[in-house]
Amino acid sequence: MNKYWLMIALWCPMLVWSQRVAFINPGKSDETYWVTASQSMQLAAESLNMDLEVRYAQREHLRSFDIARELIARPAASRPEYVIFSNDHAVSPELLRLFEPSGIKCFLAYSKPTLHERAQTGGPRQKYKNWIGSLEPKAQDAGYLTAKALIGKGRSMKLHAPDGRLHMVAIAGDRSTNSSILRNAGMRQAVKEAGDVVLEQEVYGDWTRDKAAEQAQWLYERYPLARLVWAGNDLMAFGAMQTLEQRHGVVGKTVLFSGVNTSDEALQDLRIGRLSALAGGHFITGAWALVMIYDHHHGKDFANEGLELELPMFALFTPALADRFQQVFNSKTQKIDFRKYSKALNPRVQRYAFGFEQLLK
Amino acid sequence: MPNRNLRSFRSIVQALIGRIFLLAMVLLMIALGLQAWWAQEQNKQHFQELMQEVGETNVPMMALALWDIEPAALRAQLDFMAKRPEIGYVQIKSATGQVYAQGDAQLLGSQTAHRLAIQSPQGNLQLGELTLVVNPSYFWRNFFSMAWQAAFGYCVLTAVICLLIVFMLKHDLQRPLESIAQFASELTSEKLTHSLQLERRPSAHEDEIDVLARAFNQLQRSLRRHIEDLNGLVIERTAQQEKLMVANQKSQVANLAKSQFLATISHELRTPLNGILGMAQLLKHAGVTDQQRVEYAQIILDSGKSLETLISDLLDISQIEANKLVLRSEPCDVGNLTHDVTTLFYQTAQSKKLNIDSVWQGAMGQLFRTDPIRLRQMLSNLVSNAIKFTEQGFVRVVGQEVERNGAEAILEFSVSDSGIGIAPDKLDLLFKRFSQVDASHSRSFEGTGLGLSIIEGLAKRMGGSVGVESQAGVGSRFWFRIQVVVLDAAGKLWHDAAAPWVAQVAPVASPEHHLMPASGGTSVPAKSVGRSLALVVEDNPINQKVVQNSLSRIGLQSMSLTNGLEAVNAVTQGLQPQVILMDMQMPVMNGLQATLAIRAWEVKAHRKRIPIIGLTAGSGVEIEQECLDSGMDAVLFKPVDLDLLQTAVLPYVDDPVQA
Repeated sequence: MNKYWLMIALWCPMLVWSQRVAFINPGKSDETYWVTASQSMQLAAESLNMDLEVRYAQREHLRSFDIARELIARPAASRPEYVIFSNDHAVSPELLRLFEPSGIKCFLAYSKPTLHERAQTGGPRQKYKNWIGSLEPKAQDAGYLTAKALIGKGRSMKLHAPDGRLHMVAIAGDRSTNSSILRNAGMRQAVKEAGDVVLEQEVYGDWTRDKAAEQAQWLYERYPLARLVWAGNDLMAFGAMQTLEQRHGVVGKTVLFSGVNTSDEALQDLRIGRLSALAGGHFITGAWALVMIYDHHHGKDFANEGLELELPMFALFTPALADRFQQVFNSKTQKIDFRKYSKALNPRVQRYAFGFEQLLK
Repeated sequence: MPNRNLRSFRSIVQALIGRIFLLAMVLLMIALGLQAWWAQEQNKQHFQELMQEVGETNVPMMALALWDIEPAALRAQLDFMAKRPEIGYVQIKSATGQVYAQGDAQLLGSQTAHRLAIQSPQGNLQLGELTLVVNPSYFWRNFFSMAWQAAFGYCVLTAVICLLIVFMLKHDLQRPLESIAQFASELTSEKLTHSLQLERRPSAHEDEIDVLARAFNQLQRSLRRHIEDLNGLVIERTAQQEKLMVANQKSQVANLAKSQFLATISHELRTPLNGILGMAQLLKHAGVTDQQRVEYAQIILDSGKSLETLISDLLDISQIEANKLVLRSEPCDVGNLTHDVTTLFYQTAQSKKLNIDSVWQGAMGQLFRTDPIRLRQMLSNLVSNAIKFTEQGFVRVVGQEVERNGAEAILEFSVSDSGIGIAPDKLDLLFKRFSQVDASHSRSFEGTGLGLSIIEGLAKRMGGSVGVESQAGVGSRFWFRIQVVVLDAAGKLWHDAAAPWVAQVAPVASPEHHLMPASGGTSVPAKSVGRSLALVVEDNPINQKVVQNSLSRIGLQSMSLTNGLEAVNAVTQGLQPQVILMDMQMPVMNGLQATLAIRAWEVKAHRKRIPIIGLTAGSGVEIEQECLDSGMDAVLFKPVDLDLLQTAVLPYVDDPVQA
């Protein structure tokens, strides 16, 4: 009897009080990826009965600090208990420093401090006690999966140059963020494994369509043999496509493109063959972070699995998978049950299984 | 200042300054041109280097941006470069044809376009080309800034150098030269007293200006000396001329006087000569009675004495004029002497029925040291004149002591008369030699006119003076004053002090006192001296005869020789006369030489000294002393008074030969 009462006593708070969690979204409030990320987190929060507040930094890293200061300045009753942010634009050292005295617990999602930044921040729960941990998608998967699919497509379309090799150019995101670096690394890994591919040059399009379009102009001139264009995200792929078309090339025929992200346009281009390869799903990292915070809050610390988790989250989309994805995430009625991934709620779960494809099953 | 009337003046210093300025301007223009060219080249080089530097600095970044295809970075770099004012246009042209540019595209064709190739970081691919074009306005602004600074600096430097040169030329050259020119232009005879002084800093070295100034100073001193010499010469010549004129006038006057005097002298000489010659001729005639013979002889004697007096006066005047008059200094009872002189003329005055008297207004018997002979001569002259020029009335002689100063005294003697007197305008002529108040041939009175002149000369020699007060028709008073030494009754110095003129008088040899005629002309009685031999050495036969006849009168045998050499030979050959009468002036050997030779022979031959009495036509103490010095024992002056001759010879004749 006592045992049951004890269980009730333990469960009640969980059932009654919801955790206040804030997410400092580094992207723009109209940027598909980051909006999708927020939406997925919102779904998870609802599923886990958490109180989620999303604030957009609008890709201005200084605004991240303003948001942090505003949260810290709030009265304790309205102040979030947890805050989730990404290390986009290397904001994590300053944000960790700001939040540490406030008692708000920090969780880094999507990207964590680089090795260089670790000198300032240390590891979770070390210098900054309130930094409880981090979760990153295994970003190189995105690069690897898309590059490998792109190469396969090129082979199948026999786009080899006279030298018998496939010539590829890459338009990466940026030089600093971990996710960009890792995606590029995955791409290079795939090229390396292919053996018949020449990676002519990597350029950095800063995730933007226009810059990628302009760079593509140079690249087409500089490397007329290149038939494969790897892009770090969907927007840059669109820009390169645009330039090709301006040069009277045929997208998906004379030159093949790959991208990362799950925007509607990308999914559509995948379906019609303009995009030869598309990977995505890592936007869900924030939702998974909420699951981990939920567990941490409810006494099921993820420390046993690691404070800095890097888990495979990308899925290489096929047209069918694209349809399924849109079906799931665009539905207003269909809920995703994130509770089944919680260790606190599912004592049988020993290790987190945060694969995107699993989520769509 | 320089004379600007002849030609327009242009200062050499100003000309130099003008040339220096002109040269400086030309050099400045050349320097500025060179500087501008140099600045242009420097500017070009600077901008080329700048373009190269800017390019080289930016090319690596551009290569990265090009390689990485970072258009934004390229634009940022272009913007950054284009902000430099030196760059007018910058362009990046990629190998793939993209062109990014900033600035004025029209400058692209400029020669100053600087192009740099942009290689890929790996160096194996040309990614593009960077073109930099200099901003021309900045280029020229920079050039003009450099040129202006250089021009300003050159102008300031040139101006400073020119001003320094001007200052130095003005200070070191123009001012000294102007001073020298001013000095030279004022080198007139009136302005030769001040030397040229240049206001220059003292220096250890001498330069041309100093040499020039020194030369002008030497010239000035030479001119001054020359002019002073000329002035002196002119003054001297003028004085000499004036002296010559005066002397000439005097000479003319004197010549006139001498001519008149010579006429007078000639007359005075001829008158007694005429008497002597006439009476002598009458004596030669047979039948002359004893009374006539005595009368004629007396006339001859009087005429001879007149001649002697005249010759004595002439000698006196001659000695006074030659300043060779030697005075005696003897004790003299001047009261007595005054009385003697007056007495001497008593007969003469009586013959003209004139009253003559004398007064000594001092102590009777008072002795004074003076020259009694000259004093007697002076008084006699005045008294003689007074009697001569007084027809009636009186002649008075007054002697008095007018001043005494210790042992010295001034005596005044005056002779007053009631004669014809002298007109006041003729008084000045009275004491002039060779002049008479009435010098015409028809003058009323005889006489040479030498008397007063002799008195004046003697009075002055005796430390006194002469004077006359006269009124025509009333009478005259002639006076003279002499300086004497007062003696006591014993003839010694009344006081120790000696009269100044006494010291000049040479002591007179004692034999003279015996030989010279005593006052009053006391005659020596004839005395037979037996058969003693006297030697007469005389070249004139008449004088031989006179002397031998005179000696024979006292019984002295004599022989005569005609010159001194004959006498010396006779004596040295054994002739032993008891006395030798030796004339002074003789042919072959004169009396002095003969006396010396005889005395020398006597000493050498240890012979007895033969008395030698000199006979001289000269006069004066010097001749007398000269004779005595040669070894003579006494001197007699011609014409020899027979009595004096006998008196002089007798003492040396102790064994006369009977005539």
